[in-house]
Amino acid sequence: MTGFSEYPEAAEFIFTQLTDPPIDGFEGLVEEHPGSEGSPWPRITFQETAWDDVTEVAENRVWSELLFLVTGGSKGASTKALKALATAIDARLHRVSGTTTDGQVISCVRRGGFQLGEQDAGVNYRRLGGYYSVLVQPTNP
Amino acid sequence: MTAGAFNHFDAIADAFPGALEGIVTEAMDEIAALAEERAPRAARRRSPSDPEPGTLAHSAAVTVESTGDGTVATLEFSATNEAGEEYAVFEEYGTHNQPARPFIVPAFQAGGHILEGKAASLESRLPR
Repeated sequence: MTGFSEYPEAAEFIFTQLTDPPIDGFEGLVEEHPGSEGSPWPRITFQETAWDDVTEVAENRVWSELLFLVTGGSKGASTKALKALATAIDARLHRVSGTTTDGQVISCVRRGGFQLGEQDAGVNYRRLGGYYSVLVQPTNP
Repeated sequence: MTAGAFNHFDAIADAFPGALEGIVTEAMDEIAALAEERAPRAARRRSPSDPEPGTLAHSAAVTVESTGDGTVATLEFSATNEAGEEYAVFEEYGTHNQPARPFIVPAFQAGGHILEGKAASLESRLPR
């Protein structure tokens, strides 16, 4: 295997899964966390939080496991308002696999749920989603 | 020598909880060290200006508790910002307008290997 960068492939996979076809009733954007300034609410954001290479003899990389935090986020104090969005995220990211421009995702599975509330300058924000483990390797390892 | 001389099952059973607690404690200490090493140093809006770089890292505390069912290890970062908020959560998960700078989850991800490695030494920690 020659050089290969797993992150762009994993991020492309997540983005494509969440946008093609569009999620029914969701008109916001899917972006890397925290989203661009002015991006409408609710929004879906994803961010890589841990990265582990799996190697065999002679340090050949078999694949890499990237752990992504993927959440629906909104203004307001209600986590329940994000239920449909988080459910749609899970339906598209749990127990799936596929190909990307230069790689293949062997599996994408949820490792745990996630919810967080925060308040900033008197405004409430909520996030709901999960941690997704993405196993990725080159198309021709 | 009788066969009974080899029956150390009671002693092994007695030593088992302590040996496991030792493994969990050692692994958790190493995971905490990894998390401290990765804890963000630079200040951000919802993190305090950091007169002593490493405030967040130095606020780590590990507790190990034996319960009836086993051993529970906890890692906690308690540094607070000017508003009195514990801000480890803002760094670990990000906020509505700040990217995450994860330092706990990656440490636990690596911690799985640490725990496996130490668990392999379980037999050597028990009476023979």
